[in-house]
Amino acid sequence: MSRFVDPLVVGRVIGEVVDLFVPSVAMAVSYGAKDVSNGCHVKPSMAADQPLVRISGRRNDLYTLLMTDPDAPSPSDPTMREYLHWIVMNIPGGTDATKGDVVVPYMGPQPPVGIHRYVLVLFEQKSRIVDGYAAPPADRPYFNTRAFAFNHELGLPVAVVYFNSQREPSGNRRRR
Amino acid sequence: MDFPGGSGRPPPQPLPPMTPLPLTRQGSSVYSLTFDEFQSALGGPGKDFGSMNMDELLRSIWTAEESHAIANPTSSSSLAAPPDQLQQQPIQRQGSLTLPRTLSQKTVDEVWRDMIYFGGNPTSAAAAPPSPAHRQQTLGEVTLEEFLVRAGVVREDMPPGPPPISAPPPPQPTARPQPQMLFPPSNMFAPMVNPLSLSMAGPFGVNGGGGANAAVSPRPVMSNGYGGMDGLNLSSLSPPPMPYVFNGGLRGRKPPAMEKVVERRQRRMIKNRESAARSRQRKQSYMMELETEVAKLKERNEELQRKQLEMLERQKNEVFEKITRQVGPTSKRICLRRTLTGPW
Repeated sequence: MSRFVDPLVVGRVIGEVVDLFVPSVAMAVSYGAKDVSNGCHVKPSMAADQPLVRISGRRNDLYTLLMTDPDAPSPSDPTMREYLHWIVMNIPGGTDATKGDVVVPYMGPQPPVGIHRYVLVLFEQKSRIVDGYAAPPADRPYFNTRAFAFNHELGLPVAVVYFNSQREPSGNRRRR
Repeated sequence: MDFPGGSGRPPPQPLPPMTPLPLTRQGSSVYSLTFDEFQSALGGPGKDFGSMNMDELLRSIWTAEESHAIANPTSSSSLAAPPDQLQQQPIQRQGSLTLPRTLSQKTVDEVWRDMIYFGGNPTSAAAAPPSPAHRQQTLGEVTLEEFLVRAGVVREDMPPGPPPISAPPPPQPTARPQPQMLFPPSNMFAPMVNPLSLSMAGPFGVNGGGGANAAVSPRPVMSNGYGGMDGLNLSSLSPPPMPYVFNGGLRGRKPPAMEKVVERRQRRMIKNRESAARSRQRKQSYMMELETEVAKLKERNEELQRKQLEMLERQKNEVFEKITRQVGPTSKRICLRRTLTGPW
């Protein structure tokens, strides 16, 4: 099982965003035709719309998915860690994210400086969360995944995947 | 340079061929000499001191001092310091000469003139009345000490062991205590030493080693740390052209500005390093991911192929079975059958 976790460790996702966990649910994220694998590079333009996130898991279980950027505003100076991009709750197992309740609408990556990691974390819920609408995180910056998981009794993640994205140079300036 | 000894000292041994002039006064050091004496002692080097650069002046003083120190190991302390201290002292002494950037590019003449004009130099307060009367003391009559102190090259130092170098700054030739710890590194260089010394230790060692004598090497190492660091930094860590203390590449810019530039470069370098580390991490992480992905896919591939084979097999079998099933009855039909039994 560690095979699936090592890229997360090396990429410092485990440690900075989540704690060490054992993946138990399969999660497949794709932006259009591009499948996301750990550490792959996705252009912001390609990730502007929310991805298709298919999960396995038991049909009776509900899952929470969130997406954050721990490298905001810049990887060398992540003062705004983490920047929240998306929260979907009550996703039934075996389906995809569209079947859940959107607590925080999807916002595509817009890294101002440097190459940012964008982490998608899947938790298994103990029960249906109804106050998700009532108490969404106040703001996108300064989000903390661990705290969020603690507050909603989500425990350790069951699946994590991350990709990299960096600002696309504007058309005029042609860099070598 | 010969220093046949000052007061109360045993006559020195025969020395390497240098001018035999008595070069010491009370203070058994080069610094208590006046320029005139010093110049003549050196056998009148090609240049007149006046038009010499401060750099070169200090260098010559340094060489003179060092040969003096080597020649006169007993001369350095009036407190009968133990031999090992004597060993230290010359080294320490030498290690203390540094040159403020503002001065390095000037000639001795210019510095002298400045001193005269700005006579209110605090370090010289006691020694040199900034009055017209003083002007009459020409450069030639100023002792090297005085000159250097007034020029701001030197500062009193507080060495741990040896006798009172911490004597009052104004150099009094008469009161000059032996170990001339008079030339410690200048203030402005101090702050830069620590952060950079660690990273720059290597090049310095080299430079120091390339320096003049073994006895002198600690000094270049130390002072090079001050004077040479900027040169090193600014020239992208290439060693200064000459392994001198005063790093001929010293610019005429002000030290504070230099510091900032150096700092900025340092910070940039650190940031760059971190960024490079992150980049390597990213690459490695992606690599691992791809490898596991490949392994997974290979497995799946094999499975699928196996399945496919199985399916084909099954299909074949099914068809065969179908055929056999169908054929079965007909074949039976085709087979000869006894429809009628014969009479026998």
